[in-house]
Amino acid sequence: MFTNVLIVLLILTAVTVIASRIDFGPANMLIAMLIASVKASLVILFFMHMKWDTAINKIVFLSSFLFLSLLFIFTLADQATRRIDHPMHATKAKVSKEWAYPKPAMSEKH
Amino acid sequence: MPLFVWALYATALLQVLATPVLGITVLLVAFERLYHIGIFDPRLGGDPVLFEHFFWFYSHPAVYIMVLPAFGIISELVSVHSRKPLFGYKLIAFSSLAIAIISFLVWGHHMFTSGQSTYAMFAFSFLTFFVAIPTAIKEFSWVATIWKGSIALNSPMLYTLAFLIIFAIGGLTGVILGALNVDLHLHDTYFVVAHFHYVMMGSIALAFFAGLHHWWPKMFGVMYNETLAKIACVTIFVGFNVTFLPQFEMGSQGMPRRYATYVPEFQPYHSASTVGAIILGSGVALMVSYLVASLFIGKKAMQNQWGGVTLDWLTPTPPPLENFAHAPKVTTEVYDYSTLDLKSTQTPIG
Amino acid sequence: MSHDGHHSVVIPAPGPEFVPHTVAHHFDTPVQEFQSAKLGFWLFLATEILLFGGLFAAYFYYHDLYPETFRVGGQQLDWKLGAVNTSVLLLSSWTMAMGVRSAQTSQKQKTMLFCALTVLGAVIFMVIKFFEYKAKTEHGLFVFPHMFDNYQVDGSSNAGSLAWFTDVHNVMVDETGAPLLHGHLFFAIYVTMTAIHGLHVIIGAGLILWIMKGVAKGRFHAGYYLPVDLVGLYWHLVDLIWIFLFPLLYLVP
Repeated sequence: MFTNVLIVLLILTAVTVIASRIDFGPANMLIAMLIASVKASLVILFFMHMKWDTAINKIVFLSSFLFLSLLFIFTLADQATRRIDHPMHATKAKVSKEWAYPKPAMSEKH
Repeated sequence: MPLFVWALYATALLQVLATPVLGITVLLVAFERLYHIGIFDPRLGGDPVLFEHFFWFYSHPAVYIMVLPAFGIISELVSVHSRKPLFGYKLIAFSSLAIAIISFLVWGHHMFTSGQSTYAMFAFSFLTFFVAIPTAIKEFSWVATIWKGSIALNSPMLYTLAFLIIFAIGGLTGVILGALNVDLHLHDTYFVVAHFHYVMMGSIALAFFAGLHHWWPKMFGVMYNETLAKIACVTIFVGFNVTFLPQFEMGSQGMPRRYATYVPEFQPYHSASTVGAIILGSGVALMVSYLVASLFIGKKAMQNQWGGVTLDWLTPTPPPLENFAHAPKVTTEVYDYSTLDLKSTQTPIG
Repeated sequence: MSHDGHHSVVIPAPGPEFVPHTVAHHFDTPVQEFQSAKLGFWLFLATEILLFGGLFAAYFYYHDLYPETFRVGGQQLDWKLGAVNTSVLLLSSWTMAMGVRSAQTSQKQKTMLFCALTVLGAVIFMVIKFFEYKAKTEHGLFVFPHMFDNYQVDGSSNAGSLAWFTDVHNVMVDETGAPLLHGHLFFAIYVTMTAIHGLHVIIGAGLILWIMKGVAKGRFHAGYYLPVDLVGLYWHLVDLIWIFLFPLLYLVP
């Protein structure tokens, strides 16, 4: 059974690499993370025996992801919405954020 | 399960989840200083606000880590010293867990002037009002427990009553600070200093003193001088309020935090705080002296000094290794005072 | 149950090549010992998730702030090496799970073998990692020997030059050839995340070696395989973190 899980994991790794070659635009990150989450679930459920474990252990481990997601959501939401009210900076141009972080007078190479 | 245990469960939950983020934050700051990765340094493209997010993600739950055990102590004490089961036991138990969970959603209220997005600030301010609700449930449940109880106005109870008054002020001023528009003016002023001293010193420290007095006979088998204890409690209460109450006013008039010099208008407030601090300090010094003295010249305490019915009062004094010779069997409700053996409250130890 | 004359609980050895296990005195039964230890270890793993989670949060934050820098930066990493490393870790996770199962079924030799294979996987992973870091040093994207040099600040403008980011081949540029904003940041985060992960790989390998010592002495068998189980959980966590690190750093750009 472990062997089957391993094979699926290796296949999913190949899928991740192949999927990364295709550009889904902004969904790139999401798709990569989704596939990674599936792989992670397999490792957790089978290799780490979570499927046959007590409920309290499941709650403990899964709640850590829940609270971690709170950290992600609020910090990213803050960052993403920070410049909405400034019409000049509302769009994400490629190197547009330099107004907040002035370029060094010297370049960063020697 | 006694409510102190519930409080400690909730505290443990917070400790496990919040502390690692502090760990990684400190590690990143160390890396920043050691090899200049630029993660928080704006010269290198980093964002100090990200540091603030990481820091306060831990530090807000941290204050609840500090206060939840204090709440647990007060829950135990109001019950024992009113000889009445706790009002709203389930509510208090679940409110501890609710505080633990909601406290992870509000950390941005320490960052209202940091330059984070307005929308994030709306969210944090809105959520901050929710964390006050379980806390208020506790406060009112404690008061309801005392109502029509058989109140013993001994020193632990006096500290507890002082806690209830001071925490009400501390908690309410916290909600004031949680309002985004008001906080923009009060941030980094003495209003904040007054608020957190009301909750940290006035509430947590007072609850600690209350617990110290409550469990002193169980821990050491001796009683301290009750009259001195009452005097010390009143002195501490008066000193504390004289120290910190003026700081609310001073802060709302604009006196900033961490300033050594200030305009003469604020001088009376600072002087009042100093006087209060002297009173507070003498009260604490008095408390320490009679507690230490009791170890040498204290009268023998009773086996069950206050008439509590939780397991802590059923161990011998001092409790042996692992507290009991055999694991005790609990067959009654946790605060069932009908099981109280009144003789044990009158029989000295030994 | 304590020191009032009760004997401690002993789990007998299932065979002559094993030793019996005495349950720690503060537990009443072996099952209680097992469940307490497991719960404690899952709590520890929860803290590790939050520890690495902070690093991931920082990554997402800056990825959003400097999308071009992160896109070009990611292209500098060799995804083939990353894929090999992923497969190595997945395989080592499999060998570890098999090792735990061998301990559960009292198969001493197999447990030794699978643990050794897991450590081998760890070593291969770190060797590949070493070559990746060497390449970064050669390309000037993260010059490890200069890591701790002082950041030279140029007086008034707060500009400066980082000793460890020299970008020898000038790769961190956009289409027009102008330098990308804060190109060093991607590599700073890349090295921080992979180095802390690498530290956990080394710690995990050390723990597995310690387990192997215990296996050789016959301490682990069907009646008591708890330490093997817990170290296995730690190793799977290390694998878990890499499962997320690999696409994030190597593939998304």
